[in-house]
Amino acid sequence: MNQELCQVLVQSEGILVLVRLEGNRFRVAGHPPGWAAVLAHGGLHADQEVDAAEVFVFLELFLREAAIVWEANDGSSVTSEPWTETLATREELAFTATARKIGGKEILLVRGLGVDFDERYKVLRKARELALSHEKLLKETSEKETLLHCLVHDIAGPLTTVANCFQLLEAEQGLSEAGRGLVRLGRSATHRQHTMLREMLDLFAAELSTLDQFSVDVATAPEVLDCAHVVLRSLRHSFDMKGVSFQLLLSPPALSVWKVVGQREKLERILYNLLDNALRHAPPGTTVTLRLEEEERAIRVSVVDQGPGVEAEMSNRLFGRFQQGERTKGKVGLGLFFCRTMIKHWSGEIGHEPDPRGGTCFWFRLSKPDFASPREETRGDAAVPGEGPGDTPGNP
Amino acid sequence: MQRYQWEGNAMIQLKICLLGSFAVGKTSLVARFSRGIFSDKYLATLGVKIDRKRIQVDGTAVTLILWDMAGEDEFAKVQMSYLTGAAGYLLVFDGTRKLTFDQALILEERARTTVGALPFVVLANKADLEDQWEVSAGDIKALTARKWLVQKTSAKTGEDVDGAFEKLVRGILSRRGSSAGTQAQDSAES
Ligand SMILES: Nc1nc2c(ncn2[C@@H]2O[C@H](COP(=O)(O)OP(=O)(O)OP(=O)(O)O)[C@@H](O)[C@H]2O)c(=O)[nH]1
Ligand SMILES: [Mg+2]
Repeated sequence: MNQELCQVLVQSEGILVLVRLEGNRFRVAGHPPGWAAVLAHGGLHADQEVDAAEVFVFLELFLREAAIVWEANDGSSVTSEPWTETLATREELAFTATARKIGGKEILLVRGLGVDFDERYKVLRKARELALSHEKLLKETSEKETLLHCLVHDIAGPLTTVANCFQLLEAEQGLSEAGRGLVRLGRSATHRQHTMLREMLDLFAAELSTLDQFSVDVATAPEVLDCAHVVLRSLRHSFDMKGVSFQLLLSPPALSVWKVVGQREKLERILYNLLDNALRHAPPGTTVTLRLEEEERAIRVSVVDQGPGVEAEMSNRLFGRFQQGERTKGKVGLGLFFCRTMIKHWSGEIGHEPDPRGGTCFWFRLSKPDFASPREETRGDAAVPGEGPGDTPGNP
Repeated sequence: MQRYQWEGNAMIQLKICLLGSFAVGKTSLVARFSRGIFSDKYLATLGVKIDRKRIQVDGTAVTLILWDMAGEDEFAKVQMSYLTGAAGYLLVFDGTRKLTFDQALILEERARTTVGALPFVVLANKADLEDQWEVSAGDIKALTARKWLVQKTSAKTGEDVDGAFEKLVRGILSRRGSSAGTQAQDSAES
């Protein structure tokens, strides 16, 4: 009766009792628990003789530890770390094994841990999850910080030039008193702006919140074509000086509204960066093309140059932080990094690919405001087509 | 090397471990390789998870016993003793987390001092997120310069996952073919 009771208890608790015969061979004591019937290697039944290390490969190592306990025969026991097996039912079940000597018999208890296992280790899992989120957050923060630094840097450069000009002007002979006053005014203004830039870096946290303000509303959403005109005006001289021509292609040509999700100033900046980048790579006598294409739910913008193309080595990482090719000069990397950060922030896609006629095509795609989906759904890591597997040795 | 009768064929059975920091994608790689599935949800492995997969490599049928080991963090250390009896291992890092690359180097050294020099392949995982990678081409070159086998993989897209496992098995089989009995794993299995 007692033995029967024990048997029922053990079985209902999901414990498999194995009595050691010799070496790794064991006999199944009594009726095994339900999970034992669906082990990947075929079920176990009462009184069956088995090689425990074949039933559970995990045990091969543990049995060496167990042997020490059985030999010591001092009432002690040893329990294994948990391990998980996939059952024939495709379910996963975690186990632990305990070895001890009872009544002269060398016993191995294999416990199926079931749902309480997940409960027991919930905290550990949660801790790992949090550790991962924390890492991600730190990384995002530092990306945004870089972005801010990059903006400030780009503004500070020209400002220094202006300040220097004022300084030289002040030293000029023959400047009228009124003129001198204006120069002083200019100098103090540039000084003030420098201070403001420094404060901007300190107010980094505030900048993060403004990063969030962009428009998915048709009324206030920016117009790509308008932005493009503004940018082209500012770049016209650079194109002329380099002897590179420019063409704007619209498809369809009659479309009058080119609104997209985003924020006007930043969209201009993106267009500027891409066109400036194309110009940098375009040999004299060639053409840079800006193409706007209407798609069902989005607008695709592409900038194509007829330059030498992107170096293979760079191709995968072009939108990363501080990436610069061997051939390229200047602050290319930050510019493209900015483009990627903003486009992804607006749940768009960005990428680059070799142009069939030579050169490179940089493109991005932004939703039309009326088709913008809620941000949570689309903010996932948008694939970047055109960025194929890299040149890791070993890749086929 | 253990040989089993299996459906009439002599079957080579190899124990393969997956080693790497937490959340680099070890469990995902095994799920992709053995069941062709992927989940975005992160469910940390506790202890070790055992899976089996039969494959053919260059006409040789092989059963892999995959030991997907929990990644290391401040709460738990990787159990190097689990490598005992392994024919080789996959050393996984997450390209988007440079720290996991550095930790992979440390794990390799610990594995070597625990069980000796086993064949291994380094998996540069999360290749689908390449635009967010912190590990550079230069970092990877430093590994190949050491004559390490490196393979970019993505458990998410499946890119080169099968190839990576096969690469390891091929390495193990060819090493055994050319110098039977000289490897650490052979003595451990006897
Ligand atoms: N994008 C992407 N995500 C991946 C890839 N592989 C794994 N992940 C994700 O990364 C997270 C961790 O993956 P796991 O496979 O659980 O990592 P692990 O190495 O087994 O982690 P531990 O068991 O804690 O050591 C999960 O959210 C996965 O969805 C990949 O190739 N690409
Ligand atoms: Mg895991």
